[in-house]
Amino acid sequence: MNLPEPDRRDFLRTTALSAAASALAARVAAHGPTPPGGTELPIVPGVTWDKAPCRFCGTGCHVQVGVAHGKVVAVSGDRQAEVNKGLLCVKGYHVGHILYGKDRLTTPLLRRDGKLVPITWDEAIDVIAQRILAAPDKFAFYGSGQWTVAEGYAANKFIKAGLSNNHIDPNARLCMASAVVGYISTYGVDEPYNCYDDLDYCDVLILWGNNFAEMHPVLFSRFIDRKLRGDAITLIDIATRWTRSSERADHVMIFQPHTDLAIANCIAYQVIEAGAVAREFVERHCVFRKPWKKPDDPQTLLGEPCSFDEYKQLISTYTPEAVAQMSGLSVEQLRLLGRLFIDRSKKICSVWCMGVNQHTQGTAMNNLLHAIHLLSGHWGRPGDGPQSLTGQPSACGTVREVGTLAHALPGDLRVDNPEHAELAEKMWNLPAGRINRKPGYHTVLMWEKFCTPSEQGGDIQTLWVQVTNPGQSLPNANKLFEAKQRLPEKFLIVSDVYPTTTTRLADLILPSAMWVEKNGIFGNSERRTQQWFRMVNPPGEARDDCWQIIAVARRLYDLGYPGMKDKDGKFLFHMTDDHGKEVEIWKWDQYYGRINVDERLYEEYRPFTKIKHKDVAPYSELVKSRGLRWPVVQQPDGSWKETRYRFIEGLDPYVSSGKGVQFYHSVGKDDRAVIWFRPYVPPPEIPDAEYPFWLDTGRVLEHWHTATMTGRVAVLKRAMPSGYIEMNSEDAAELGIRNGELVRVQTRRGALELPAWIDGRGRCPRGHLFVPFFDENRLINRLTLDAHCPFSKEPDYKKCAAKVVKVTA
Amino acid sequence: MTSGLLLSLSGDASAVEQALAQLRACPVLTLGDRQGSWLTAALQTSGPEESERWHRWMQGLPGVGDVEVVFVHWDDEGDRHHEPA
Ligand code: SF4
Repeated sequence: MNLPEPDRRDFLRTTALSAAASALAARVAAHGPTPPGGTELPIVPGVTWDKAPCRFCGTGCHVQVGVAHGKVVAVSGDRQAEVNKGLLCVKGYHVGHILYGKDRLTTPLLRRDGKLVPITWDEAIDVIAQRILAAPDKFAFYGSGQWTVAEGYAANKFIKAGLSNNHIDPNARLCMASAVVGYISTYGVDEPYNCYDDLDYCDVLILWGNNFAEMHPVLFSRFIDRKLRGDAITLIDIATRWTRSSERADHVMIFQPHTDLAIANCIAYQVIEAGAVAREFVERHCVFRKPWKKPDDPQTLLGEPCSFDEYKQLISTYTPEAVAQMSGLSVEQLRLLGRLFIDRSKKICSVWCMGVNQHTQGTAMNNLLHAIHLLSGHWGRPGDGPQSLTGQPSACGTVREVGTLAHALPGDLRVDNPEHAELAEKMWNLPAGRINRKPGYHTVLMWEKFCTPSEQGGDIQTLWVQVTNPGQSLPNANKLFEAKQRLPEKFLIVSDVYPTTTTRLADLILPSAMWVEKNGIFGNSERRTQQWFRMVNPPGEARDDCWQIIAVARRLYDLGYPGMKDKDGKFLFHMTDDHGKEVEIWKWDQYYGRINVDERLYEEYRPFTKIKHKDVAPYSELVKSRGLRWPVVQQPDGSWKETRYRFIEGLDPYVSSGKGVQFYHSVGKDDRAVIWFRPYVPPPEIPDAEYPFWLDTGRVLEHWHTATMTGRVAVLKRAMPSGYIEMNSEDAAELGIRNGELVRVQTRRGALELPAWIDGRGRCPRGHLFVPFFDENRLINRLTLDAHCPFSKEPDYKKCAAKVVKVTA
Repeated sequence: MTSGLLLSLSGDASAVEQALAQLRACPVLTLGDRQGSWLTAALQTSGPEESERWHRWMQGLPGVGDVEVVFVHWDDEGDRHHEPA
């Protein structure tokens, strides 16, 4: 239908208004599984719509993507999606534009004599295969929480079943590894027991070092809307600086960096002091542990059991008076938190993300948040419990569930557990012993090994990066990334969609398809697995990351590399059509042909998820839904049912009858969760006379991580064009610095010049600086610390010591 | 470029009334249903830059809490590619 221009404008206006009206109806009646207000799609002439999760954050909003003439031309919030009920944040509604930056990579490029020159895919695949053949044990894969499930699964199988070296780790190591280890050491198994529904039911929402308003804006609105509807709910922002989240909070508690451990322990102290321990729940369902076997022993993740009396003794020093001194919170603020946890009539939801995870005591802090909820009985009712959030769209789906970590196998299995490794060998039809029982290098170590000369022990020679930008996001980047420049024997392969800080040092660049240019599956923060189909073609020669992995695997197979064969001699990624005929999926023209490779890989992976009761839904069910939260279990009538809350009888199909609550993968094999005592341990670097400030880094609303995508969206770029340093107004006045003036910030690892933003969007307390990391021209991560949590290996980007001076012309 | 918006109105009654008056007078905005604190609107501009300007203007009005976008159509921008960051 071709409408004349005025009619077309009227038509689009009406369409826009009706889309908004439907979202409004959904907003007004926000509870319930499917929003009222109509789920029909906007009708725009010539535009066809299909569903996809948003490409950006871990919230996992669903969008409807409008396609016309082979291009994405419209985006609408998906009103059938429970996560966002038709709404999107500023990034989400511009998500379609990320495909169309002028500088999309469209052809493979190889560095020859210092210059990047175009080559064919065939040559590119050969270069990688030859590098691997020369030293398979010195090859590593660095992936991402933005990998789709199939991509991550293929990469994991390629490394663990194919190359047997386990050197695969994702960028998610940098953002949620502490949450993983926190869950495992508390409940024996990873990922939240609860879901976003808690935001609809809680009386109190506590943000632990989490700028929820900017990092998970749609979820934040979901909570704040309840206030607008008149719900008597309380928002508490426990933070190290004032942010947009603070603006909406009822109580803002600004604490000294790193003392969150003491604050959590102080809550536990007050619960015990008031006799408010949820005795029956704790006695039936929990045990206590403490970290050290002997004072001089190094910490071990499992620590040792302790009695409640011992725990009480250990926690006894965390009085409000003592913790007030340490944390900068007032005794009254600490008492307020204590009273909340003592009062079981109110439902408390604690959420956290990078502030707790990017912490040299990240695992400990995660343990403590679970501990205060378990101890006080604020656990298990909808709206009453602790929940970590992820930053990337598939940090849960691809990293945690598929196990693209150096120690992991799909389905929460471990390479260093002989039973697990044998099971995986069976499921992959591998000869016994193919899977190396030794974990590979975690992220920081992998990059250290890559950036260290071979003769000094730097035994990673070739590193393949997909769907991430470590040049900008690794901590202490001079050491962990830039050092590569001086090592000509090291070879960096980067698959990406745009030139980035990482491609700058790449020896081989592979152009990738992105988002709706390929089939995909993501898993969001609340255990929701989400599927979409390819809707448009990638530009030029750009191809799927998954195809790239399979093509290299096949080249190795053809060259006789034994690891790429299963125990029957078949290709590791052997696939057949409905007639049993092998499909040559390593050939691009057959990749999207007779079979859906994504579906095949996903269905191959799905049995792994049943082992630890994380059953993801069949692909065919995902196609019909806006994502389903695992475990998804078939009902007697043949339908499939998702699980909102795990470990609770009646809600989780795997809890045995009569148990009430059952932590069926518990650490001690006793069906009990662990309440940990974790002491305050000082940070590795604190401000001193030479470096008197705390330097904190993070994200902003307009850009997604390193802005490789959002930086190509003119509106977002204009809204937040460049990096800056947030400073306290009194600190700035003392140093003679005014708003917008250039300052030099310096740490023990590097220096950077940035304009000052004083009392702007975020407000720092005295002695605190904040710099966002999205600006590729102002690389703050050259200054950050690579010290990391001893258990999760996640670095601390939130605090190191720095100094600032005004830059004079 | 056409966007469907959901505005939340907040603050005292006079601030909300003043905001509504300014929104009604805005040449690129068509107001739709209002229910409680929420108001729907359609924004039609020449492109994303202009949309962003109006978005900021709305966001800055006393009486307006949040401005959320639920639909966006930009086919009328033709084949325009976006500049690199
Ligand atoms: S909140 Fe996250 S997932 Fe939702 S629209 Fe915004 S960026 Fe996308």
